[in-house]
Amino acid sequence: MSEILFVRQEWWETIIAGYLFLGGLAGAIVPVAYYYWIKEKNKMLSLVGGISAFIGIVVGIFLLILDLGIPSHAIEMFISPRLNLGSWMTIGTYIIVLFTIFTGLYTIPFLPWFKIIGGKFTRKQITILGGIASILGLATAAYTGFLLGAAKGIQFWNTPILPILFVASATSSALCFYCAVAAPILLKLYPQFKDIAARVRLQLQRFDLYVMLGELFIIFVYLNIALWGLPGTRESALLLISGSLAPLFWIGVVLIGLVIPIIILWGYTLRIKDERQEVIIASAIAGWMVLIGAFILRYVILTAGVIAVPLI
Amino acid sequence: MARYGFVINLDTCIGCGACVAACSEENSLVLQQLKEDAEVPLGGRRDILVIEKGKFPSTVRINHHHTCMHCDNAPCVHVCPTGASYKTEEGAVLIDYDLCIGCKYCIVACPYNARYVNEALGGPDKCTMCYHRITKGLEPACASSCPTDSIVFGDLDDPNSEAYKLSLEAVPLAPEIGTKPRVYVIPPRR
Repeated sequence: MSEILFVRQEWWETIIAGYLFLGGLAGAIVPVAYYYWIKEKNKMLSLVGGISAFIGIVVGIFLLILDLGIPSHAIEMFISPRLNLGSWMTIGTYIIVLFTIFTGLYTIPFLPWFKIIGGKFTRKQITILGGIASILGLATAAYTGFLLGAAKGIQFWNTPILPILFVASATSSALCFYCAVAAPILLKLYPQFKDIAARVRLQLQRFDLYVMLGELFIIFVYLNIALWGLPGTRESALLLISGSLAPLFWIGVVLIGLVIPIIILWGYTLRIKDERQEVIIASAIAGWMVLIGAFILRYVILTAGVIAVPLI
Repeated sequence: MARYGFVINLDTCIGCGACVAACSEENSLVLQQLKEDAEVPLGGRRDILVIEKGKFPSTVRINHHHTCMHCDNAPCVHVCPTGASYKTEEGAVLIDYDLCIGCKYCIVACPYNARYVNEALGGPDKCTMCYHRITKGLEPACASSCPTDSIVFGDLDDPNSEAYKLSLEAVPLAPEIGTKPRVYVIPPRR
C-alpha cells in the first residue's frame, strides 16, 4: 500500500514569487519609515519609504492580476455572491487593498506639493494613518505565509515557520532597501540628510544583522524539520539542499542573500561611523544582494513545492 | 439525499483506458494517451497511471486511477476565494466558471493533484462526476464505459446499491489527510 507520486507544482512560479517579494518588501518598508516618524518626526524617510512602498504594492497587485487565468473575473474578489471570507486569498486581497489605500493616505501629507494645494493633516492624523498602514504592512508580509500554509496539496508549505520566515525576510529586505535605494536618493535630494545619514544607516544595519542571522537560523530549522518530516516535505527539502534547486538556494539565497551581506555589514560597514563614499557603495551592494536573495528565497520555496499524490 | 461516489476495483481493472477515452469524449476533451511514465506530471480530468510494485520477479502492476476524489472535506473548496469551487447536494465538487478568477489556489490545495489548468478555459478543470449525466439518472461516462465493470458509481449509503456493497471491501486513498474522499478503491489481491 501507499506508493507516492511526487508532482512538482508548476502553477505558482516567477510572477507569484515577484509578488511575494514586492508585497513583503512594501509591507515592511512602511513600519521602518514610520519608526523614524514616531521617534523623531523625520519626514524625508516617510516620503521616500511611502512612495516606494506604494509603487511596490501596486506593481505587486499588477503581477497578481497578470498571473490570473481569467483576469477579467478579478472583480469577483469583491462582488461574488459566494465570497469565501475564510480563504487566505480573500483575507489577503482585503489586506493588500487596505494597505495600498492607507500607505497612500500616509504618504500624501509628506509630498512637497501637498501644502501648496492647501492640504492639511495634523501630526496626530498622520501618526494614526501611519500606524494603521504599518500594521497592514506587516500583515501583508505575513499573510502570504498563511496563504501558502493553507495549500494542503503542498506539504512543504504547511508549516507555521513560513509566515515567520517571510516576515523576517521582508523586514531584512526593507532595512536593506534603505541602503540600496532610499539613502542614495535622500542624499541627493536633501543636503541636510547628510547629518543623520550615518546614524540611520548604523541603526538599520545593526538591526538587519540580527534579522539576517535569525533568518539563517529559521531557514536551517525549516529545512531540517522538512527533511525529517512527511514524504512531500522531505522531497522539497532535498530539491533545495541537493536537488535541481540547490545552486539557486545555496548561491542565491544563502550566499548572495545572507552570508556575504552579513560579512559586509559585520566586517566593514558597521565599523565605519561616518558616511564616506566607500561605505555608501558597500552598503548599497550588500542591500541589493539581500533584495536579490529575498526574491530567490520566495522563488525556490514556491518551485520546491511538490504534491505527494497518494497511490494505492 | 443520496451520498454518491465511486468504487474502483483495481483487482479487475485491466488498464484499457476506455474510461479515459469516454471521459474525454463525453466532456469534449482531447483524447489523452495512457501515461505509463510515473515521472510525468499528469493532466486531464481522468488518467490511468500504471505503477509497478515490488521487486522482480514478484512484481505487480497497478492501474492507479488519477482523478478527483469529490472529497466531503474538500481543500479546494475551502481555499477558493470567490466560492467558484463548490460542492453540490449530490456530492460532486464543481467549478462555477462565472466566478472563477483562475488563481490556481485550488490546484495547489488538492493533495490528490486532481486539478489541472485547462488552457481553453484559462482556469482549473477537473472531473465533474459527469454531473450533467447523473442528474438525469445516468452513470458517469467512465463507469458506463468500463468493460470489466471496475468503476462502480452509486449511492454509498444505500445498502442495496452495488457501490455500497463493494465499498465494504474498499478503502479511500490516504484517509489520514482528512479530506473524506468519495472515491473508494479495492486494492489488487495479486
